[in-house]
Amino acid sequence: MWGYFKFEWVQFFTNKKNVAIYCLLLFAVIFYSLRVAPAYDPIEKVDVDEIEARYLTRATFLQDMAMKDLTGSHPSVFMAIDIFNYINPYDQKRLDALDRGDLSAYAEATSEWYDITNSFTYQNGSFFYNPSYYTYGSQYAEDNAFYAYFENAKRYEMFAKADYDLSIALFEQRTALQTLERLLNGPLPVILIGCALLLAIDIVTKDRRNPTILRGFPIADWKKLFVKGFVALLGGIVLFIPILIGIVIIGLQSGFGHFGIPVPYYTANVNWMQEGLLDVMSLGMFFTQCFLLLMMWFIVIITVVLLSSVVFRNELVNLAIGMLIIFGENFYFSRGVGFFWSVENYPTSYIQVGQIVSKIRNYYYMSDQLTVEFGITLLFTSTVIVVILMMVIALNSRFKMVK
Amino acid sequence: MIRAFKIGLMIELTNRKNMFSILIVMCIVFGCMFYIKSQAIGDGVVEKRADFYSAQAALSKFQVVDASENGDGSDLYKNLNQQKSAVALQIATLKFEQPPLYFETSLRIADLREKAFDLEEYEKVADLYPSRIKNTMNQLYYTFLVEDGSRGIQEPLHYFPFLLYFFSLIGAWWYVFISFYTSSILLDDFEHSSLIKGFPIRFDQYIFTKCITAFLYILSFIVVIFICALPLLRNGQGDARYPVAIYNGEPALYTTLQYIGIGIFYMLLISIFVMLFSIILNVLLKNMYLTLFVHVILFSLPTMFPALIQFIPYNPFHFMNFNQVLRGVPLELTVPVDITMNVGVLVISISIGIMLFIIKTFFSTGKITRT
Repeated sequence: MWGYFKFEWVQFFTNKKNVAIYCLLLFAVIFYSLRVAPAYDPIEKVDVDEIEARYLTRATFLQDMAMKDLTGSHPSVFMAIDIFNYINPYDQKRLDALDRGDLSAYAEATSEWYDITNSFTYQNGSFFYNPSYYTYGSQYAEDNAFYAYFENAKRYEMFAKADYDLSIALFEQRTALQTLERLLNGPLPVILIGCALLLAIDIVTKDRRNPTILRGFPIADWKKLFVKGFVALLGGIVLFIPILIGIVIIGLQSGFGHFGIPVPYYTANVNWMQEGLLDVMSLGMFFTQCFLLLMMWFIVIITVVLLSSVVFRNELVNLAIGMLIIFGENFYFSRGVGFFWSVENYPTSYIQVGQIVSKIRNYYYMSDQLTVEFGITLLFTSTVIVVILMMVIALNSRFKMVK
Repeated sequence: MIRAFKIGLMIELTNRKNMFSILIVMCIVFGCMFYIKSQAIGDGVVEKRADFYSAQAALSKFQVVDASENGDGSDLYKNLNQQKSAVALQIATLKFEQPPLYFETSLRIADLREKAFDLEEYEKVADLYPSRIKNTMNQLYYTFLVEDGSRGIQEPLHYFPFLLYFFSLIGAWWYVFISFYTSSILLDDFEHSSLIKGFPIRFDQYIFTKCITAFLYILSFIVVIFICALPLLRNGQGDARYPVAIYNGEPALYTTLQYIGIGIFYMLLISIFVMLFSIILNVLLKNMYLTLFVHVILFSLPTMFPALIQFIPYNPFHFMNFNQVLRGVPLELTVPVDITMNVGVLVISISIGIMLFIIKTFFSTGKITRT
């Protein structure tokens, strides 16, 4: 058994394709951390000019109006005076805090600023979020901005109470661990799961090439399949090494951050505008949950590849099935569809691992059913079903792993 | 030769990969229908609402002043205000199903945007509006529809509009799909090399038969697309002569049928290109995945680094996503590059010639060996 494991292990890591995958991933990570990450330009940044421009325009307006007789003016003038009088002190506090370099005070004022601004901007028609949210053809700009403002409000609220050192890089999510968090909410899970699929894809079919060596191992076929799956899983874990290298590179440039940084997550979808729309967990918790879900996905993909290898015996078929699982969600995903369909029952809905953990996927789907626990249960059940099917085939006396 | 061809065909018929590829094409066609339904593509009201928000967001960058004809607002401000009210009217015409009026308001918006490009401070709001080339194409499109006067708005889930939609998206994926399909074109036979060695044919002849069989399958993929779309005939046929605005050096109008026709032509040309390239990579690298990686990297480089397009404009890989070139996307880059599919056909044909030459001269002596 141990001999066979070593044999598979050596074959796995000397496979030209696998080496190419690790190299490509490493290259992509280094490129990202040296070129893309430093150029990150968030919409919600700490920008004195932006705050000042807005503050001064509004202050001038208030001064002008204070000198005028307003009888018979348009009602929106009164509305503007009310709102500006209310919000301007917060902008002033933010500016003062930045002047003094008091980041904790800045965080406190900013948190309230986001909350209040959100409450009078969403679906208002006279007020708008940061113009960068609105690009040509984006239908959901306002909803995205609404969520982002809530998220920022919560994040700054936690920063205001923080007992660790604050920095601008921390506010703008530039530190290495926060970069990883952003990536997990973005394309990284699909890339990692796709790499795991490519790594595992020929783990059974490669045996065609040297059938004679394999006869030297007197092990039952189903045991061989398990060893292969285990090796592929270990190979999947090795994928995290390039990611760690990337974290070190980004960390040396803009700080590492730490695992206590707050990560807001979405809690409800019914009672808009209510306190407690978002809650927070620590970054360490976020990573743990993401890692668990990712591992579950690796296991699912590997077992599906094993099953399809023993059934179809063709690598392209493996690839196609794997791709369908990874990209299956795109066929039915649309905003708010969770309100009508039980999307939480499809395992493919959990592919965006980071978005599932931070629950923003629930916001997109307009459902509160997609949870990490249920996702893991669902994926685990699918794995068990696939493994049972595989065992039924492998224990059949007419089954031969290599034809 | 004929015998070799027959045997090649026999081998391919028993290959599960081919049947599976056809199955994938079917899945993608049906998936696309589902996608149109779930994303509400072609639902004018939803799309125009995004336009309306854009207009509102653009106006938020200006101070609110008198926007009437003789008001003290800037020209751009007045223009944007007119656009906003025109978009509102457009949504109304859609809701009340008045196609002629819809085309008129759309043309009016395109005209207003055309004027706005030359006004001062336009770069402030440029992100919120379509690019100049896109707008010029819209102008042409709606001018035709207004003058024609007899056409309605197309439903995306009718037969021809669906095919048009499908063929206007397929460009990005066709290259990837064909490179998947052909990535192991020779490798399969390295495994039963004894079969091929049984009769003496030259390597170039063998490759030729191989290409013909693969090409027949590629033709059948395209036929499968048309067949799978047939159920949509229940919804209605749609208008096969409905215009499409494209860019071929200058904005022009094609009919739906013409567009599908040239689409298929480009797809076949690209397939030959990919097939020959796969053969070269197969012989050099002797590994399916390395072939695939090289394909995908070369294909995605121009997308990831648009500056490359300006640096080497006549790289054949810039023309693989032919729908983008037909939409005039290269003109929207920060440094516009004027490449058209006519040049693309020429470049791809020349590359095919060069690759044929390489295969003939350098690989013809090589015996087929087991890896």
